[in-house]
Order: sequence, then C-alpha cells, then structure tokens
Amino acid sequence: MNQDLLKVFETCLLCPGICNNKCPVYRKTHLRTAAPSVLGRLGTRIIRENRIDLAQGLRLCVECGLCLDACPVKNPLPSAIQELKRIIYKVPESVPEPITLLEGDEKILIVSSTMPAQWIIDKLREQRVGVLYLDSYDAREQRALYGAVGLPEDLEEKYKVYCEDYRLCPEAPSGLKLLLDYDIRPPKKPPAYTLLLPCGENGQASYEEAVNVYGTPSTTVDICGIPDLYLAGYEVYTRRLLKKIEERRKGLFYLSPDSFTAKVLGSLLDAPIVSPLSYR
Amino acid sequence: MTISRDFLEDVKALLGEDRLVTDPWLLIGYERDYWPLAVAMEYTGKWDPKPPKVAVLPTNEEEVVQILELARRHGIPVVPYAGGTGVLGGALPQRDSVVLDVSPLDDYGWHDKKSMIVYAEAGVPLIDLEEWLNSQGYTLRHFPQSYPTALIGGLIATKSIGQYSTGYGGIEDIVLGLHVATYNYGLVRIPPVPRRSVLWSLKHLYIGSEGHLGIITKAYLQARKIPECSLPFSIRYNSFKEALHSAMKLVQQGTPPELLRVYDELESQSMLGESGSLIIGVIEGPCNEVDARISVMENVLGKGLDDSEPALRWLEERFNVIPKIRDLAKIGLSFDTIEVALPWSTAYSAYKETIEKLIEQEGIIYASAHASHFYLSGAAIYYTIVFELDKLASVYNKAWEIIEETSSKHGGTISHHHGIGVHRLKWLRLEYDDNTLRLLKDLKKLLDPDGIYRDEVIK
Repeated sequence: MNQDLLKVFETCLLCPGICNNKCPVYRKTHLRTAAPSVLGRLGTRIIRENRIDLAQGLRLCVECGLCLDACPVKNPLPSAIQELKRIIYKVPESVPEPITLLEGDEKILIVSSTMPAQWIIDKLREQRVGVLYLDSYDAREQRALYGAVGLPEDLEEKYKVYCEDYRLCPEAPSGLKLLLDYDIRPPKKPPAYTLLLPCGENGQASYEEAVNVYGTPSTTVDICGIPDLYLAGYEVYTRRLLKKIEERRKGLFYLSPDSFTAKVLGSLLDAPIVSPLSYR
Repeated sequence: MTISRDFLEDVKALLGEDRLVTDPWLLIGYERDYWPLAVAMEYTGKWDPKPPKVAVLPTNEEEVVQILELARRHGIPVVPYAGGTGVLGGALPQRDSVVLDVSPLDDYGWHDKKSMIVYAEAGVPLIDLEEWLNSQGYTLRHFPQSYPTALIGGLIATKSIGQYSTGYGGIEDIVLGLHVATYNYGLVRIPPVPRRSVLWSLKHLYIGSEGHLGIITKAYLQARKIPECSLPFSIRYNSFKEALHSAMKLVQQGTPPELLRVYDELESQSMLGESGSLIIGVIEGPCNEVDARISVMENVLGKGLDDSEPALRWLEERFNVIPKIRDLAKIGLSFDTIEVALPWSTAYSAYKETIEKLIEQEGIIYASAHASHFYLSGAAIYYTIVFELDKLASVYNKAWEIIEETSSKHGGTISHHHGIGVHRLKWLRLEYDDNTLRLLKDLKKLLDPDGIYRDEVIK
C-alpha cells in the first residue's frame, strides 16, 4: 500500500496522544481504539502486516478533523483513515456529482417531511444523482426522502430500513444506492429488512417515531455495542454542517424545525434556517 | 492462571457486554504506554506486541471494587490503564491480566467551592479539569508534559509533577483526599482535609503506588485562583555550573519563581537556540508582589533579569515535543529522558560525571540535561539521551545504568517523578537497603495478599 499513507499512521506512533482527549468518539465511547493515536497504530498494523482483521476499528473514526486541529505537527490522520477505508472497501474516490448529504462535500441537503417532494425530485434530477447519501436519524425525513426519489411502493417492506450493519445496500433500486452513514464497507450478506437505530434517548425517540411511521420492524440491529457512537458521530456531523453553512453560505439546507438535526443545529446556529422554497 | 470463561461471564453480568472488551481490534490500544523504548521498537517494526486478552470499562467506583473482587475470586491479575502516558512501561499488560480502563470514570465538579476543593474521578483528563476551572477563574497549576493527554488517576498513581512545581509542588501537594478501590477493603475513602495528623498518612501510601496497592478511583484536589500577574523571564550564564548555583541561591535565599528551569549548554543551544546556559522562569502572583519579587531576585543574584522571549517561546512549545521526536526518527535516532534528584552538594558533580560517562558510550549521539524542579535541599536533573536506533539493544540499558548508578552514588534518588514502571525495577536496589526493600515488599504483600494488583515489585 501507499508509503505516504503509512508515514501518516507511523507518525502517530511517536506521540502519546496529544489529540486523544479532543476526539468526540473516544470521549463518548471510551473505546481506546477510537483514540486517534491508537488509530495510528491500527493503520500502521493494517498496512505493514496486512492486518485486515483490524480494519473495522477504522469505522470508529468519523473523520471530524478535531484531532488534526489539536495535532502539533498537523499530521493528516483523518484523510489517511478515509483513504485507507477507501482502499480496503473499494469505495469510489468521490460520489458522482450528487446532491450529497455527506460531509466532505459542500453540497448538503437535509430533507424533511414538510419539503415538497416534487422540489426534491427536480433538484435530484438536475444533479443527476447517482449515489445518494442518506443521513438522517429522523424517520419522517427518511420517508420524505424515499418518496422524493421515487423509491418503490414496497419501500416500507424493503427499505424502511437501513441495511444491516449500516453497509452499502447492493439491492437498492436501479440508479440509486443507499450509502449509509459513516460506514463504507460492502455488505457481508444481502440487506436484511431491519431498522438500524442510534442509541440513547434520541435513538429511542427515533425508534418510536419510526415504528409509528413504518410499524414494528421485523428485526432491529443493535448498534449499542458501541454506545453513543452514532450520536457522537452525529454531533460531529452537525457541527461540521454548521461550519459549512457559516463558511460557504451555499448548498441546500432545509431542516424540519422539530427534527433531531434541527434541534442539535439550532442550539449551535445563530442564524435562521432557510426553507427550500427560498431557492425556487 | 488464564482468564477463565467463568470470570468473563461474571464480568459480563456485572458490566454488561458493552463494557467487556475482548475483540483484538479493540484491545490494540492497551499494548503499551509511552515508554520510549516501546515507542522506538514499534516505530522501527521491532515491537512484539502482547495485547491483553481482556479489558474492562467500569463506569463507577463500585464497579471497580466489584471487578477487583471478581478478579480475586478467579485469581486474575488486574492492570489499571488511564491515559497511557507513562514512560516506564507501568501500564503494559502483565501475564494473563485483565486491563481495567479507568477512562469511563469521568465525573468531576466542585466538592467545596469556598474551600476551593474539586473532586475528579480517575478517568478525568487533566486538561478538561483545568479548562473547566479556568472558565471560573481557578486553576490547579499542575502542568506535566503529559498535560493534554493524562488522566487524573494516572497522574496520582505515578506521583506526577508539573512544570510550575517550584511554586506549587507536585501532585502530592494538590491531592487532599482519595478513593482507592481494593478487593479486600472495599472502597478505601480518605476524606479531603487541609492537613491530617492521624497516625501514618494513607494518602501518601497510595500516591505513587503505580497500581501495586489498589486502583485510585477518585481524588479531591486543591484548586487555587488564577494568578493575577505572570511574568516570564530569562537569565543568561556562561556555564551550567553557574546557572545551577544561581538557581540554588534563588531557591534558598529568595522567593523562587513558580516556574524555574535551568538548561545546560547543549540544551540551551538545541532547545532554545541560545549560547551559554540559560535559566528561564515565570513569576506569578498579585501584580504588586511580582514586582517586589523581581527586586528580591535581582538582589540575590546580583544581576538583572533578562528578556522574556526565550521563556515565552518555551511556554508556547512546551507540550510539543513531537516534531523533534519525528525529526530524530527520520534519521534513525531515538531518545529517552531520565530524571533523578540530587542534593545541591553533589548535583553538579553528579551531572558532570554522568554526562562524561554517557558520551563515551558508542551509539549515544548526545547527552544533555536541564534542572526543572527545585527544593531547598536540591534539584531534579532531567537527562536527555539521543542514540542510534540500530544500537538500541547495546546502548539503552547501559545509559540508564550510568544515570541511575551515578545519581545513587552521589546521594540522589533513582526517580524524581516518572515512577518505576517496569523498566526501573532493576535499579530499586540502589534506592533502599535490603531491610527497607523487605519492608516495601512485605507491605505490598500485606495489602495484596492474593497478588491481584501489579506485582513486579515483589519479584
């Protein structure tokens, strides 16, 4: 593998972890592997010794960049982790020019149940969406998005649903793949018709909301083995979104006032949240 | 004794599956601490990692006690792990041990604000506590090199000291009370008081105990008001001998600055780009008092204080040694730092002899030192050795041996503030005579009859 990539990870071996206490995932989960200095060891071991069995540790990193801010030598660990994930899981270098809900792209769209479906469809078509990155814990937002992009009517059976273990779903309708959240691994098996939910209070709220919308799922995937990880990631994501809004003042932003995103963002953002109607 | 399935089941029943870690990819973080030998070996691909098989993540003090009780029942040794910044291998997993990660114990707050006493559980990062105090106008004034990373429990267990020690002392001067989890006495509670004269000091028994006598779970710490004024300064001398002598005069005859550091000629050049030997320091306190103390210091020294620039530069960079370490690694070199403490009567001669012996060793590129913690009776001398990584095996222990034996020969200690860990055990015989060592070991056996805590000290 790439020697430059290895150098980035190896540099972390020399450090006691000056950035560790700035990592939101480590602080929330207390999983030592999530500490950036340990991720440096993980990356080193994966590359030097081809220890692919350790690769799942990489998913603990939400690539928020806070470790880079704290790093005395500005070692680009987050991008190295991102790159290593890409190599291991063979994810395309970039998603094909979409409206992307993924951090790392300045075009961000948050949908809500109150957003006019046709407006979303038009926007998506304009952008020739190839990969749509769903990033919402709000069931109503999800439902609106599914509807907006014309998912089949049996969606509630098939894709009510985050794919099990939040991996890439290969059986998504033609032209649309759902790349879910932060993980980029290909699935070990076909998607199960399950509901994946974050943990904690908000997770429970989302769950109840989702059940209200979709009915009781056949299975739920327990991601609480990594407690609060999702929420840690979500908080980081939201802060990042805020940064983008503040820095770039572009992209498409819409938040349902009662969505979880809006609640988190609302506590951080000292500016009105714009409606998609203002873009029309 | 291997870790039995029964033990794991018992821990799972106690903590739940989430807090019992057995996956290799989740245990990789406990392989080592920041022992430079381990760092160098891992960096050069010579490290033979021996991760633990199990780590546990208790979330409160009672769970720590219960885990220790389970460990005793099943005969499983327990090694505590905090921030992993120790530099002597003290957090390395031992035998078939369970690692007990204290980081989830992360509650802190005021215990008694009027008395400026805070409580902090073992897993609280020092930087969090300090920043929280700062936001209210308070401070601990405890700034070890590991400040950004270290956790409170680890700092106390290794008897940490901070850069402002000359003014505010070591961690033992900040800790007012402690909780220690044990398997045979439950949770030992030592309440915080200004001072206690009740038989021997249990607090001091546990400070610096390095996981040999129990697991520190909570501390009560003395906060103070952030100083109103802070004045960095430097003083230039031609030689380390002169500078060290002046530092002694400052400490013994004046009101010494809160932060005081004296660099030998080599470190003055390499660390601060100054020729000769440099003293840097910071005087803190009420503004009018700082002004008065400058006059006192100048009278004692018979010369004026120099500019603040070197001290400011050092303050700016003080937690950032990584660029230097990285640059050394790039050219096949590594380093270690070894701190001892010596009485004033022998401090300089011991330093001189040590450096002369070190630089005679093949593979040592350079050896230097500074003094950074001061007392009426003496000072801590902090050596830095830089050596060729290729000669690690032959030079590393030899350099350590020279420093430890020379310090001991001149009436000094083998360790000022890094503790013992696993690496320094071999020189324990230099610190105490046979009878005193026997007392140390008997005490360990008395408090740990089942050999559950770290046990290297009695081997």
